[in-house]
Amino acid sequence: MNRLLLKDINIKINNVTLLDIDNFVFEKGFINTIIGKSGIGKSTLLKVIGGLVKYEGSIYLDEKELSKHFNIYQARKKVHYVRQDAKFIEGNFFDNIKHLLSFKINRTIKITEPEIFNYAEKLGLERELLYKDIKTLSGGEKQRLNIIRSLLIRPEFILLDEPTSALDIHTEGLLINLLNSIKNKIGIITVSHSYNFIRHSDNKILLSDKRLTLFDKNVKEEDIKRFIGGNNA
Amino acid sequence: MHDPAKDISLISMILLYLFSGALIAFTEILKLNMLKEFLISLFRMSIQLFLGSIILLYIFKINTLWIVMAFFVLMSIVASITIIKKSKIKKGSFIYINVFVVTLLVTFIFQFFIIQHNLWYDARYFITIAGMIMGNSMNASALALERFKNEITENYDLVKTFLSFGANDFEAISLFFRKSLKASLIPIITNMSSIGIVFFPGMMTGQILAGSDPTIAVKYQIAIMIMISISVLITTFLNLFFLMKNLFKYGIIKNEL
Repeated sequence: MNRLLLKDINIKINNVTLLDIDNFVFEKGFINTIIGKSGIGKSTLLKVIGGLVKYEGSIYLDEKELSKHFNIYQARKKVHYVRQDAKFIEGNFFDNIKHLLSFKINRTIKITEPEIFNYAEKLGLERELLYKDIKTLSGGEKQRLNIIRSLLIRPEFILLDEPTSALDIHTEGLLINLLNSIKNKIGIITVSHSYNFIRHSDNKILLSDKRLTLFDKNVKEEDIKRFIGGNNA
Repeated sequence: MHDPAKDISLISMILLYLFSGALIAFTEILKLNMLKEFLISLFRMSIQLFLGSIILLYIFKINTLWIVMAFFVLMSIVASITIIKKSKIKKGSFIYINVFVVTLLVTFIFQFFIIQHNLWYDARYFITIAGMIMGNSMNASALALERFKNEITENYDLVKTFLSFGANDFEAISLFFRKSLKASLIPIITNMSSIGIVFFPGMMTGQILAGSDPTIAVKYQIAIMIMISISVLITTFLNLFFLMKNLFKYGIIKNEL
C-alpha cells in the first residue's frame, strides 16, 4: 500500500470548520512534513487521518477506503498516529510492548529483541535503557522509545506529531536517518516546527486557510520560517 | 428459636441518647467541629430506623409479593441514587437496572435454593437479606465507579495511545477496569478473612441474641457472605461495563464521563 488519499475532508470543532481539504495525496518513499502556524489544526489533521477524531469525507489507502474496508481498530493500526507527549504504562519498555501485543489485533505480530535493539541503536539509545523503569527516563529518551514502539507494530503509514520536540539536533539527525531508511516500507507523515527537520523532509506541505498545499522543491528558507515562527534552528 | 431478644426499655433508650450527647460534647471539647453533622446523623438514623420499623411491621403483616416488590423497588432506587451521587458520574440510568436485577436474582437464589424457604418473597427474610446484599453492592459499586472515573480522567492520554495502537474499547481501559473492580472487592475479602476473630457481624450477632443456635447463625453468616461477594462482583462488573460503554462512541473516547 503506497499512497494515502484525503478526499473531501471536512472537520468541524464546535460547529466551526477547522479543515476543508478537497484532495491531497501522501506517498510512501518520502518524508512528508506538514507545517503551519500554531493552532491551525496540524495535530488535529494527523488525529483525523489516524482515526482518532470524527470527520466528514473519505480517506483511501491505495484504492481502499479506510472506514469501509477496515474496522476502526485495523485502520488505526495501518495508519498509526504517534502522539508528541509519550504515554507509557508502569514498567520498562518490554512491559509496554507486551501490553500492546495483548490487544487482539496485535497478537499475530512477532517482535524480536534484535529488531528492538536495532531501532534503539539507530536512535542512539543504549540497550540497558530498555530494561529501566520508563518513569526514570528523560523526555528525549521517552520520545524515541515512543517512535520505536510504533514502528514495531508495522503500520502502513506512520503519523508523527512533533517527533523531535524533545530531541537535541544530533538526535534529531539520527531520527531523520532512521526515517529515510524506512520510508520506502512505511509511509511517513509528520508535523514539525523544527526547521532542521523540515529542511531534511522530502515533501514540505503547508497547512493554511484550512487546506494543504505542497511547497515547491526549491522553496526558500525564509518562506518556511515565516510559517513556523522563524526561531528554529 | 429460643427466647426472642430482650427489649430495650424507654429509660435505657433515653440513657443511650444521653451517652450520644456526652459523645458530641467531647467532640466539641476536642474542637473537631462536627456538632452539626453528628446531630443531623443521629436525628436521621433515629427517624429512618423508627419509620423503617413501622413500615417493615406493616409489610411483614401483609406479606404479599406486590408489597414486597414495591418496597424492593424503592430500596433499589435509593441505592442507585446513592451510587450515582457518591461516584459523581453524569449518566447512570443503567445502575438502577443492574442493582435491581442482580440483587433480586441473588436474593432469590438465597431464599429458594440455599435456605429453601417455601415462600421465597417472605418479607421478613427477603427484605432483610436483600438489604444486606444491596448495601454491600452499593458501597462496592460507588467505590469502583468513582475510582474508574478518576483513573480514566488521569490517564485519558494513555487510553488514547492504546486506541491508536488498535485497542478495542475494552482493551483501551482494561487496566483501569481491573484496578477499579479489584479495589471494590478488597473490603468484602478483608471482612471474610477477619470474620469470627476480629468481629462478629451484625446478622450473626442478631440471630444469636434472638435465641438462634450459634451453629445455625454461623451457617447463615457463611451463606450470606458468599452471596454478598457474588452480588458485589456482578453488580460492580456490570456497572463498570455499562459506564465503559457510555465512554465510547464509534470507537472514539468521549471527553467526559
